[in-house]
Amino acid sequence: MEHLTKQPIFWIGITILLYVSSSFISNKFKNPLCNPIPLSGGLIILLLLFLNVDYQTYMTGGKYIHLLLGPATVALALPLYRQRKLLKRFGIPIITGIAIGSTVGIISTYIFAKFLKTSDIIALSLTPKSVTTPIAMEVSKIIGGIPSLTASVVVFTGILGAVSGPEILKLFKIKNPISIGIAIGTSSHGLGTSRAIKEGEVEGSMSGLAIGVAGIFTAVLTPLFLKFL
Amino acid sequence: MKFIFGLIILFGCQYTGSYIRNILNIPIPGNVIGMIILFSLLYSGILKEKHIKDVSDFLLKNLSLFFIPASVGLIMYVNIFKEHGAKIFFLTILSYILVLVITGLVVEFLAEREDKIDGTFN
Repeated sequence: MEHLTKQPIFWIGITILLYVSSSFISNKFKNPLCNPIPLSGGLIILLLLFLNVDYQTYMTGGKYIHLLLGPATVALALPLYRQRKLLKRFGIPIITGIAIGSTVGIISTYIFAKFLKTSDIIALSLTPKSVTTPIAMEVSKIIGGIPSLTASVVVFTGILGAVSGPEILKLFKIKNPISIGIAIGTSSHGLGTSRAIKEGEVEGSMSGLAIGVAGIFTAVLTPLFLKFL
Repeated sequence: MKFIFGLIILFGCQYTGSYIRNILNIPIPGNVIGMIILFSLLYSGILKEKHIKDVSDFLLKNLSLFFIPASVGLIMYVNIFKEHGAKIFFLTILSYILVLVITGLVVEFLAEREDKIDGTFN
């Protein structure tokens, strides 16, 4: 078993196999909790703990799958291009929504963290949690948080978006695909977008747009707000 | 062949984005800048949709797959989560819901108002 778990191809195979089977389950049960990301990710974590294999070893194979995240994010430009008329038409509501959402994300996280009396360093690490990992980690570093802790909370927030975004919005009677896409992308970046895409092309493209715009707002605003909080 | 060509374009945009990020030294990731580059190329007509359609649709259809390795990374924080997990979970969930719902309501409200003019929103 040991020499098998040292093979990168083994972990590539396991990841794809679990992704394919969990996508099948997710399509069959239509239950948002059956999202392929927490399902496969959770099973792989259990497997690693069970086999006593560390994350670095997993990533010798995992990195090849992770590598495609870059071009996949770039590819979000295509649905956005297809929806360019909507973008022009609703540019101001979209930008305003993302700006307000990003502000709420920064301030609410920091204030809740202070209220719950977490240590400063944890509060700072959580503050940029709503945006895409590379931006969140950079902001965390700038304001004095722990970038790797930030990264893990970013993933957790993203999974929340993938599992519950459309359902929560429905509870609040938010029905328009533009609002749904922007809300998911602003609150839960790329992971949320992986779900928004399944809701429809408008949802997916708007969510993809919000990854970048919310990221830029958060990068600019977080250091600024922290001066006043 | 078209698939490989498309993939090269996407990687090309990403690496150009990373390069720009490095020279400007800004906290915006290469793939987000790459997204802006690709959008500009399409918008200006330099690239046609057909050049990248197959590969983009394939990658986006399987977007969840590419997030799995990063999600498995949560395994490294088992100890931090054991110690501070309850607080972190609680405030993350609360703040996530606030951002989601407020953003959604703002866009819905403003877009509907905008739409009173000619009605393409709903």
